[in-house]
Amino acid sequence: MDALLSGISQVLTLNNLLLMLGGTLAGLMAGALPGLTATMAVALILPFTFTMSPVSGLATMGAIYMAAIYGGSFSAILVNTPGTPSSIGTTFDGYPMAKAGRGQEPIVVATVASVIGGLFGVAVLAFLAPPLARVALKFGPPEYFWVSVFGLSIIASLASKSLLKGLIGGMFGLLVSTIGIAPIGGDVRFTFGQPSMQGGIELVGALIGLFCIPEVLSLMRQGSKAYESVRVEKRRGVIWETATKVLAMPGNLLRSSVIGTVVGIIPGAGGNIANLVAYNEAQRASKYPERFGTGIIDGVVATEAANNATVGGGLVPLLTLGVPGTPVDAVIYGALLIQGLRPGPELFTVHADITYGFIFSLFIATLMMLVVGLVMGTALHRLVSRLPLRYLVPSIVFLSILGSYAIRNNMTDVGVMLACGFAGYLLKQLGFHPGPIVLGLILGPLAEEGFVQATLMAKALPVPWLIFFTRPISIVLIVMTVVSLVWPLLSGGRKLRKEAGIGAQ
Amino acid sequence: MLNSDRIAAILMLLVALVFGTQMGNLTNFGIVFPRAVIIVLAVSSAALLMKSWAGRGGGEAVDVRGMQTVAVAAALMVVWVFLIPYLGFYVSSVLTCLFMMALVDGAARKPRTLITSLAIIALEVAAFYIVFAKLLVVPLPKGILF
Repeated sequence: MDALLSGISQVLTLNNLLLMLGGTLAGLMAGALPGLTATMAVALILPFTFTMSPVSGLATMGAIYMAAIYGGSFSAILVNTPGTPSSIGTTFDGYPMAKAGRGQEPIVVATVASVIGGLFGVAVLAFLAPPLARVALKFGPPEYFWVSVFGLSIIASLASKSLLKGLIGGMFGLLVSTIGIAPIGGDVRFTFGQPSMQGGIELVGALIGLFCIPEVLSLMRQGSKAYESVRVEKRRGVIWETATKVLAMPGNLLRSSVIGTVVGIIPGAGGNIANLVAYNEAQRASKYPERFGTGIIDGVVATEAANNATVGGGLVPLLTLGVPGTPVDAVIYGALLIQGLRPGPELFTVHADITYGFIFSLFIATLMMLVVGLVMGTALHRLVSRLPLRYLVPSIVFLSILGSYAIRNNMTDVGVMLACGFAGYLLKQLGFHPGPIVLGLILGPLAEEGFVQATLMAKALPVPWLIFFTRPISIVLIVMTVVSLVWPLLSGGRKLRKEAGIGAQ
Repeated sequence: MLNSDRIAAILMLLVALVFGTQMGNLTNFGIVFPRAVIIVLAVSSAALLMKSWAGRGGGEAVDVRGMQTVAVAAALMVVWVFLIPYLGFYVSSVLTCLFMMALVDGAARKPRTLITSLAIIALEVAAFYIVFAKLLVVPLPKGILF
């Protein structure tokens, strides 16, 4: 209780509230701009948080994250182009409504649904994370090894179109994570004669490179694109009228928020998957499914509640186990490390005040989003949509270089950031998703430490390797890993048989 | 036509080979984990290679359109990083940002737009320079000017 109150009091300072307000504005603008993702926005702001206190830094990043996911709805509704992949489903009904001259309505719907979904996800985080962290305290090296394997298996199957490529991406990330000094034994590995590589690949620099440079190169390749925005006609009373309509569909709100939270908790799956699953489920549960896609508020409610609910959900495995739930959480993982905090159960014991402060700040940021979105959302979207690409691209590269330099004030990290960025772009062209690579990079040390320590622990046992398969929590994790690997194969086979059946008919 | 699965598989087999040849003097503690990873990486890459030849959903063709712009942009970023120790953070950033602007948008090469762009980028870089060097106390590299 003391930790909770201390965390709340740390957040409720004028400085932190202003930082969160700035974060909300910045996140909304980044999300509203097609081509800029929430991950990129959070990665670019990360260097600014180095000198802040842990609570201030995390609160700023949390506000940007929450607002960027919501901001994607503006271009989805007004331009028919999702600002972030989390708002793909919002285009289905949001744009037809805007095109029909009802532009203000879907924006209010998206705002109210995003706030409700966001609050739901954060509430689940607040209530689920502490007991889960208590369970995680019982984890030993074998369990941590299996947590890493489970995380990798699920991201390999979810984040990539091909399970094989997802697996290869994860293995590549794991291999890169072994560069430098071995966590146990102290061997210097894979440095290729470069002393600067002994410290390993600097994680934050690598994350900035992997998430920002490929996007910038893609933007440059596609060139300037003129987005034609639908004009929003303002009408008196529409905010209250529409908000009442949204609140009159508690089933849709609850179902979509639950979907978003659960999808967020699953490592590797984020708002991009949650919004489409929620849209599909809303349509299936609707009394008028044929009207979906023609411009009804139900679809916007589903996608926007779900994508913002992933924010809280994705933080559950990150804060309790040290396994990022979404790509943005991977960047927050880097931020926690920079602040000297090791993601995992320790966050709820040693640093509980900071953790509860961070969770509380997400509540505040979500409420700020309501006010900022309704008052300034459309104007901010109009502002950023006029920003020429020629200013945007160099600015992102500049911030990436500046940010990676600021980590340790050395140019080697900038070189690593660029190398990771170019490798990320090349691998993207070859069909690799950055998710498994990043997770491999993060989970590598956890998996290796767990694997080697468990092997050492088991030396006295008659059959040492049995230690990985006989402990109850390990067995649960093994079953989950097998299911996550076999499930896509089974569902793929079923899909093929279905297609063959349709073809035969 | 370049097959993305085939190129990906060959590239990852090469990565496994390069890392595999670097394991010579490692102790058992240091070798056990990377060896397992290298084996899984090599086996799954070989499977992807075979799949690409078997023609079962063998990957999409790699789109090479616009790659020239990407190559020039990547080269510009590398030059940027190499210039920083000589010209300093501010001057090298303003110069390369200007080149990047001209690369992204042909309109930026017109004299009037170029001057406006230069002014905007000089102000932007200066603002971030001050925030980092003075407020966040990050010592940014100095060069011929500052």
